[in-house]
Amino acid sequence: MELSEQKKRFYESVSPSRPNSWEVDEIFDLLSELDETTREALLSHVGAIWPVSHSLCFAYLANGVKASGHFPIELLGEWVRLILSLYEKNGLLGARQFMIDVDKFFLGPMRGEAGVGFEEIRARMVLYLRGISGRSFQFNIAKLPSTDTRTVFLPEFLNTFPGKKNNILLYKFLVSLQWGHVESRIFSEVLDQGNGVQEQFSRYPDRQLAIDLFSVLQFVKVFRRLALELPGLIRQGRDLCVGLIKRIAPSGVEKGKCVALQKLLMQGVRTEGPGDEASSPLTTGGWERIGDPWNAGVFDVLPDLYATFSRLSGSYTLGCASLLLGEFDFARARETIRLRREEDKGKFVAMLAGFLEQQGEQQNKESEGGNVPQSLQENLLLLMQGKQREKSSDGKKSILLDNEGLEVPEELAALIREIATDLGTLPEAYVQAAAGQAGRGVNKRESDSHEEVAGLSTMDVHIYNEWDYRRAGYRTDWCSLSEKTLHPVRSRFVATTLEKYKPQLNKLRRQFEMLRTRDRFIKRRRHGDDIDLDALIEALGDSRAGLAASDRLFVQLLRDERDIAAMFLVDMSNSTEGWVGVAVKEALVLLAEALEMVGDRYGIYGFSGMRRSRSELFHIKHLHEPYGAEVQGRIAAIGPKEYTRMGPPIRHLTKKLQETQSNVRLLVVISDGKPEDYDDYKGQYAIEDTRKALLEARGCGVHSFCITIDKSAHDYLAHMFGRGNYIFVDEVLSLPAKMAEMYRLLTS
Amino acid sequence: MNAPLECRLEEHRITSEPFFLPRANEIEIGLAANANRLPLLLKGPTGCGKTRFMQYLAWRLKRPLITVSCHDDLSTSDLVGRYLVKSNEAVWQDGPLTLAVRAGAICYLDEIVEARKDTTVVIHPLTDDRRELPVEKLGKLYSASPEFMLAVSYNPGYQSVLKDLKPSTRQRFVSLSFDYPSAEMEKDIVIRESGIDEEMAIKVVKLATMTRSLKESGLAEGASTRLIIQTVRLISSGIDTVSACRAGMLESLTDDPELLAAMDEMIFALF
Repeated sequence: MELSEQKKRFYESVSPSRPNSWEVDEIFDLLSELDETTREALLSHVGAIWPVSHSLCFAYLANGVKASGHFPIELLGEWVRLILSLYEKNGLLGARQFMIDVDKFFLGPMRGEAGVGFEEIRARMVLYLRGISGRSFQFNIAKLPSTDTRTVFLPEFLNTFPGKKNNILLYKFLVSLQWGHVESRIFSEVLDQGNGVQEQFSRYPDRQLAIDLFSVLQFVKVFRRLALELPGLIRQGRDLCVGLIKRIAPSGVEKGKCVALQKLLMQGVRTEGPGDEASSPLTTGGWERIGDPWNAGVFDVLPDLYATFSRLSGSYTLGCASLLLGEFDFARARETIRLRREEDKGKFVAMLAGFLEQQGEQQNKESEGGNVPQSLQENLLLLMQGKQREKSSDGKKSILLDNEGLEVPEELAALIREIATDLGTLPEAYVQAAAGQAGRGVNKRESDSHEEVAGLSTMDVHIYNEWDYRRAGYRTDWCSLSEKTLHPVRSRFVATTLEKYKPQLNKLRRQFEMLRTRDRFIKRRRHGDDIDLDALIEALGDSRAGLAASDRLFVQLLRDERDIAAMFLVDMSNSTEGWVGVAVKEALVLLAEALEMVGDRYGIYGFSGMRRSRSELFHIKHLHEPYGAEVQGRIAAIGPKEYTRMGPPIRHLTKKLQETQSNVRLLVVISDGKPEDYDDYKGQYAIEDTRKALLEARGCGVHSFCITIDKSAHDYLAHMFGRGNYIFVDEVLSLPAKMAEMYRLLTS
Repeated sequence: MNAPLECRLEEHRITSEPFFLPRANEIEIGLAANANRLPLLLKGPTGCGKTRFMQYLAWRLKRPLITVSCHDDLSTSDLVGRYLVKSNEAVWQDGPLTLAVRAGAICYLDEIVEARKDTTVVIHPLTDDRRELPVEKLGKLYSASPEFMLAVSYNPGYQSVLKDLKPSTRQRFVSLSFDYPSAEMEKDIVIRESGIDEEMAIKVVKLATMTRSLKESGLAEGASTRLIIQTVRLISSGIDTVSACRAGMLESLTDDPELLAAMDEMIFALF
């Protein structure tokens, strides 16, 4: 086909758009270099790309001219498919990068050589690190691996090794290494030293060399520790390390430092047993003074090691080996540790104060006299004495009150253990602070939170108490909650969602249908499908024994009666803006579809508000309301509003559920983190009130379950929701499927 | 009627000492509950030693242990007893509960939440100070022998709201909470139960502990001590470690591919 003919066809396929003719001419100039078949093949994909993006289409054609020389024309379809999916994910820039380097991004992976993006394996690594460490870390992207003891930073993409498998292994190794750094307590050690670290490094003329040597020592220390803890990982990872160490290159002609650094690292990661240290150049340079570098403290060895290295010639570039050594941002880590310790202290003080106060109250009730602070002081004294005993017994923590062994609540004991491991001991100041707060009793901020209860109309306003853990009592009639209706919006949201989740939806419907039609033989019926042999034999026996035999002798096939009323309470706070909010809405659509299948009664409400005077509950679907266009419109209208005061809406829905006639009453709360309001409803106070509201619900026979969408599972969740009563979802995209699945598990 | 009763009871007697490593003072509490004729409620995750504890207690008290595994078709007659026709004669057959009440044995209702709630109310008069069992069909009211003890167990970790213990049932018991033992203790248990070498025991226990941290991340329950023992037994029989861990532990925990992949990473990190 002639070039002009093809150009005409191009215009036809992009019509009704009218691209600039000079742009098209430019592209066709390039295309003219190709043979006719290739040109035809390239142009055949225009119809698919043009509607997606015009610029992408031009970029595709321009790059396609070069790319088509690299691979057989049959692979063009696959190339285009990848371009389009990358464009949807990363935009034009991402697609351009992919198109420019065909060999690396397209052909490489086909040959089995591929790097791996962290996002691809994030979910696996989150679970892995949670497993090996027993606590939750967050992950973030940075150029070099590092950690601040709460977050692990990793490179976005690794293609250090040709095979994908090895790159995944490298990620896993780096994650474990960063965890090892935290476990080695290097950060808290530094924190306890004060501000000395930065000065320590600046003391050396070649600061970078000192930092590198420090990193090497710390790396090897952790490496050896991991060899004991995770031998499998080290066995696999050792080759990777050796590979990376070999990539350290001298920057100039002189190789002294480079070789020594490599030797040092190699020695660190060698299998075991003393190597041939005699051949090491280090032995001659004062190495013997250092002794065993791997068992001494990192900062103790550093000066001697630095002296040895500074005598060597040349310099080096770390290259990929910098991944192993990582980065140490002590300032950031210090800040994180400080924050954590403060949080721990706050938590400890609040918990202990609450606990002591409870004890004090109990004692007062018994003795009908004495004032609280005084008895607390006594308790405190006893607690301090008891502390010595705690240390000696490795069992449960117990404190002594009036010579009576009294067990500290599990959670408090766990916190004490945590603080003691962190700081070596439980500081007396903490205990004293707790006693101080317990003695104060009422809330110190109470006086300044007497804001006007404004804007209340008597219509649909409900007044609720709020739990103040500091006084271990309720603030009476503290919050007002108004019920509002969300105005439905007309949008394609529901239709789009149903389309998007079509395959999952079919599966969900089937699963929920099975819930509905779970058949069961009911024994001992008066009428039925078959004779109940057990009942018959029993009746026979009874009648022979002279008793009146039962007439319930049949089995009947019955569908299990599901008498469930469920309420879904959705967080509509400001923080749900964006992906979280969309995922929650999608999840609600899927759930509603599934629940329509099974026939359970359910209601959906959203909540938000600001200050205690204006908690708002938005009605989306009442328990008995049919699911239809109106409700769908309201789901689509869910959007971020203000703050998260969880107590009042939970109490309100509990009341609603109590009014229903149902065997099982279920309250599902969907939120994205800590409860928080504009006023003093935050931190421990908010957590305790939410916890209390959920406990009240349980007391009224309402089962509660919480779904939290967050990057990592926080420790307060178990306390707030109760063990086994919540699940946290870190992958927002999996929420819709997970939520329906959770409901199914809960009610079957 | 006495002779066959004795004879049936003998089957439930535990003759050799079962291995049980106490975590805290559960044995003392169990013995004290027995001395005061109070019923016991054992709660805790699956495979952490509840049933083994009952076996040990029965052995200590030298009483037969009658275990009933509860299920949702369990009827009151299954517990109390029924008339059976034997050669043209109606013969009363004691159910396990009646048997235990009359003979002074320990009756252990395993996983009591699995039974329907109307069935479990039959134990109510046995669990307060009356300690009696009405048997309607016989028109009799059995007073429990002083040696009789009732114990029930359940797993609070199950998330289904349909399976929970009613407060009216729950508040009749002395409750003992069981949890996974500490790593050190669990290692000892595993070595004792399977005879594997210490190094391997430590590693498998560590793997189990790692799975337990995933509980709030979608795993219904972490690996139990029972699963650890099962896994090391596979290893002792010559199955390679990775396959043994997968088959003996991980695959029994979940079907979720993501969780399985993460746990696979843990195996490879450990072994």
